[in-house]
Amino acid sequence: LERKQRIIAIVVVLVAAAASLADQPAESSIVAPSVSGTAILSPDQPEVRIPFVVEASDDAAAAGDLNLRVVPSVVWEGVDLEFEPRVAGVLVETPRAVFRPQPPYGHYGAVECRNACLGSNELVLRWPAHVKQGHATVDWDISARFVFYVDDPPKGSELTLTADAPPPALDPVAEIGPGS
Amino acid sequence: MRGRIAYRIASNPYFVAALAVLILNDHVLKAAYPGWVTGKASDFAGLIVFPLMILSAIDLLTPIPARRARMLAIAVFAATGVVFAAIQLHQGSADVYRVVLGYLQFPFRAAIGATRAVAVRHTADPSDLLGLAALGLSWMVFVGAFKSSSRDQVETTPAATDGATTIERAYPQHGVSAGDSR
Repeated sequence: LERKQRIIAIVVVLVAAAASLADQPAESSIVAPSVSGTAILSPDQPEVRIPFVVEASDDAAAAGDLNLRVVPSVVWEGVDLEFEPRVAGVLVETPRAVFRPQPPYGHYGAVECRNACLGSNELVLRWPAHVKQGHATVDWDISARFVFYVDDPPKGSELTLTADAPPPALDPVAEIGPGS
Repeated sequence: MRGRIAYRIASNPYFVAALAVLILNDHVLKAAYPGWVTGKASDFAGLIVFPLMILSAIDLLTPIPARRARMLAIAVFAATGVVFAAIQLHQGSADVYRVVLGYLQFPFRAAIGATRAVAVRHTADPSDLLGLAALGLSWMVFVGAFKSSSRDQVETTPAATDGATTIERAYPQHGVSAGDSR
């Protein structure tokens, strides 16, 4: 009897372990090539707008979650400034984050926008109005990924990301340097 | 005896029901009826099953001594609660959980053709902390299983002949009592 009970217990524990392990489905994804660029902000040019568009095929949009990631990498140039990079999706409230650059190498931050950022968006980089001098170089990078919670994405799934970025107003290498 | 507590847990109707709900919900109901109820049902069932499964596995590997049962159970239940809370409240912990579980799943997925480990789906959701209440029920199942296994042990001990001796030997300050089920 004890042997039989032990076998029952072992089987039930194995079933419970398998159930716990399979509790969450695996994910797969398709990725759109990222777009990136550089912007210069200063009191004379306090705002840079970077329009970008994320498009997905219907089967992808129906089956997955969009994970949009916007990363402004701020090179600090001698002023204690705050940025408000914004991703303004047509269907979503504006996610907002404030980056506080720390000397001497600036700051790295990200804004993520899930699910509701298909279509036209805009990354807005804004110089703080109360700072009257200095400048900052912002290397920005936008990437998009569609996640599916199955082993393979649906056949024919496509995701594209395009940005119409303005060129930086100043050449960051020639015009901007530490202590300038 | 090795596995005595594990058997008592495995034959407990609450544990079996929770395990059935976990399997049915994850593989059938969530897909058929996605929503709040099916989302929370897995948390409740999983939090009943998981600590009991760990304690059962320990008991099958090495018998849990009566005097250490309480401390061991508290440690397992506390660890379960802390980890569950962390992955619901802290994005970094949630990401670690997604990756670790993905690697743990990989050998089984490889058997059906997967070629690489992938992170699993998990969204940190503080409202899932409601599921922690299920640990209370899980604890009661453990206490019941422990008492039953202690009785089994006494009944199979030849020296235990009269009622008073039986009770005395069944609960010799082993630290788990009905009052612990809070």
